[in-house]
Amino acid sequence: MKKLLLICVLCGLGLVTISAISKTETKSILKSNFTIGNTEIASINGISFGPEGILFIGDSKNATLYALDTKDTEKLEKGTTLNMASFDTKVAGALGTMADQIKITDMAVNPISKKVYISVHTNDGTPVLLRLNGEKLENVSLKNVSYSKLALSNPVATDKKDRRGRSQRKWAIADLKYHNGNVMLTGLSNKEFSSTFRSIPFPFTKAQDYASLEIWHAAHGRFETYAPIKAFDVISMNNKEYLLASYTCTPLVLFPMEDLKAGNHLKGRTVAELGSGNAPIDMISFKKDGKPYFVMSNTNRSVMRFDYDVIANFKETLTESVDEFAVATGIPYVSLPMVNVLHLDNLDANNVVYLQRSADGDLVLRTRPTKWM
Amino acid sequence: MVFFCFSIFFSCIEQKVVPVKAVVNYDGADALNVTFESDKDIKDIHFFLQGKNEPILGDFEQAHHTILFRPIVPFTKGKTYEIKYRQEIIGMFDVEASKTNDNPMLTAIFPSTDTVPENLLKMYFVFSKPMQEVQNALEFIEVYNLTDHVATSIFLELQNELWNEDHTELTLWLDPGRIKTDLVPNRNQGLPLEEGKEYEIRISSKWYDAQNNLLDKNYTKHIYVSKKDRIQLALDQWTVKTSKSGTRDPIFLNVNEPLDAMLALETVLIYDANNSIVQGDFKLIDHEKRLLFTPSEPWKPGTYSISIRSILEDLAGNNLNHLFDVDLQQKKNNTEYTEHKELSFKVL
Repeated sequence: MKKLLLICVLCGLGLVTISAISKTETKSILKSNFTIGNTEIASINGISFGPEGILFIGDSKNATLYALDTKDTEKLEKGTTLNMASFDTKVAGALGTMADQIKITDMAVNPISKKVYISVHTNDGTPVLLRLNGEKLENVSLKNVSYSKLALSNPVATDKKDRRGRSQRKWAIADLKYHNGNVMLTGLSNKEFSSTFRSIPFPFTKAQDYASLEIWHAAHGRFETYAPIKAFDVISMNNKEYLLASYTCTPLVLFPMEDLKAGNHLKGRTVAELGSGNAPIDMISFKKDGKPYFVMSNTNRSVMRFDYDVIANFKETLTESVDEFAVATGIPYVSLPMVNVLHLDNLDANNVVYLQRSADGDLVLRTRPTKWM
Repeated sequence: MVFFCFSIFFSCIEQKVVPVKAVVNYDGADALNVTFESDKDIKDIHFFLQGKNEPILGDFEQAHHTILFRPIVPFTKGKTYEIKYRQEIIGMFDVEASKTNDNPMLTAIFPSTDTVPENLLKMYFVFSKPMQEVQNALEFIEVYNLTDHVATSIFLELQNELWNEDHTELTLWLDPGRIKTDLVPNRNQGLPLEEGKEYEIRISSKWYDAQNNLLDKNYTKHIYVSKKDRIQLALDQWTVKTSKSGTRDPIFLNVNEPLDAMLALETVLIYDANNSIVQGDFKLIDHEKRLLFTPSEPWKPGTYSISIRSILEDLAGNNLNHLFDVDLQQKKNNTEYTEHKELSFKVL
């Protein structure tokens, strides 16, 4: 009887050990350096999903990039069809306040669960992360969560002489995306007018050995200009990957991804100019009838749709002057009948989701099939 | 029949609303949570902003007969909230209005000069208190062309506005697509400001701070537009007025044009002959054309160097390394691209 008991205990211990080992082995490599605790996120200026339900959060106030384990990994093929009027009123209500006391700073869809996440700031800048479950809002806690983070050091190189301490410079994180093991982000400085684009390997390491690049564009082949990138996407053409960057001063510029290496002084190929008084907001890609396109939302223009093939076949840089008022030049694009689109993302393979200010001032969250894009 | 009567009786009992007395708990001015006595199931209890239908998100705690509700952001000051059990209001409470009545002020606008180059790149607006983070700043700033008597749009609207960390300093860019030479908007529309014209920038008192206090008054700034600045910042045009040893009298760095007010205060350092930073304070005067430095300790005799980071810009975005936009067809700029430039001076 004692032997039997001993065997049972040993078997039990063995099972516990095997279970523990297998648990350790199945822990994601990407999340291996995550810790549990309060993120102390001070602002959410941009959000974008990576693999395994990891949400990347750009925090301009803390000058920090966070990777948050949302644990939202239940796979769904199709997202919920949405048409939610007065969306800002609904979000404000969930925060116990009025629509004029909140600002939706970004929106992203988890590509696994197809759930829509939105980041919100209240009047005094308190950041909140919310998720839609169907049409129901849920809080995504930023406390007692699994996360990792990387402080973004001053991107302007300093020499050892400059020991004055903290910089007054702030970088408003303008766009971020995960691509092929790297988080890429661009930011605008509140001080000098310059362009810095970063590609940061993920999982984050303590060594900040990421590429910090100055990316230039040329105006009509003559004027080389420094300018910040506002929005970007990675597109693949002819089996080659390119960064498609949209500048605050209107040019749309292509850079081969293989050239994005630290210290490189890159000058991209301008493929279009998109009119004045306008800043790009979001860029996404999708396939329609098997053909790849990308679309871009803007502060002062309707959503623009570009055809990959046209970009791939557009060999010229812009050299000719165009005299028509505020006209865009270069590759042609289609202006979609979607104006005042504030945020835009892919919902699933066949739909996009977007937040739009309608003509009567209402803020509407809705989905749209890509076949109508 | 008896069952029917009992059902009605208990149903009537259930419908009787016993109002709860809610206590709002503050941390400073923030209404962090609310507590009340109840044995009801917290799954059926929801909080609402008065008259709204969206339940407030937050966490519940229930201990003995007390329920605590903590919203994910503090309750809004000056508002009334409802506590509902299922569909019935079982309690209401008010959150104290803001006690801070100090209206924020616009303490500075840079450049402070009233004459700016036609290719002015950016302006800074400095407030006495953190401003609200919800509405776009451009909803409260208008620009009027006084020469042509028309409202005009010169600033670029950005979704993520450029503020400093505590939200007291706003940076606005004049539309860079119109300033950059040869871009399509520049060719078609020209610069946002026109040489020889006068403009008025109007800042509305309808602008709230983060504590919902309005800006104390309307502000205006007049600017007169001079010719384009296409000259790179060059140290050989600058002079240093030195000081005497044994005093804490400031040294003056005299620049031949106004500098970017924010960059000027953070890009300059003074080093002594041992390559140690001289501690002290910088101040910009004379419409950002003079930078004065007052040392913390009296000057010692010797040679000092002034290290200036090359990112320092003038009002048109030209820095110590290059012009705002470089004409590749012109003779190559001989300036060596360095992180810093240096000047030296002696204290006798």
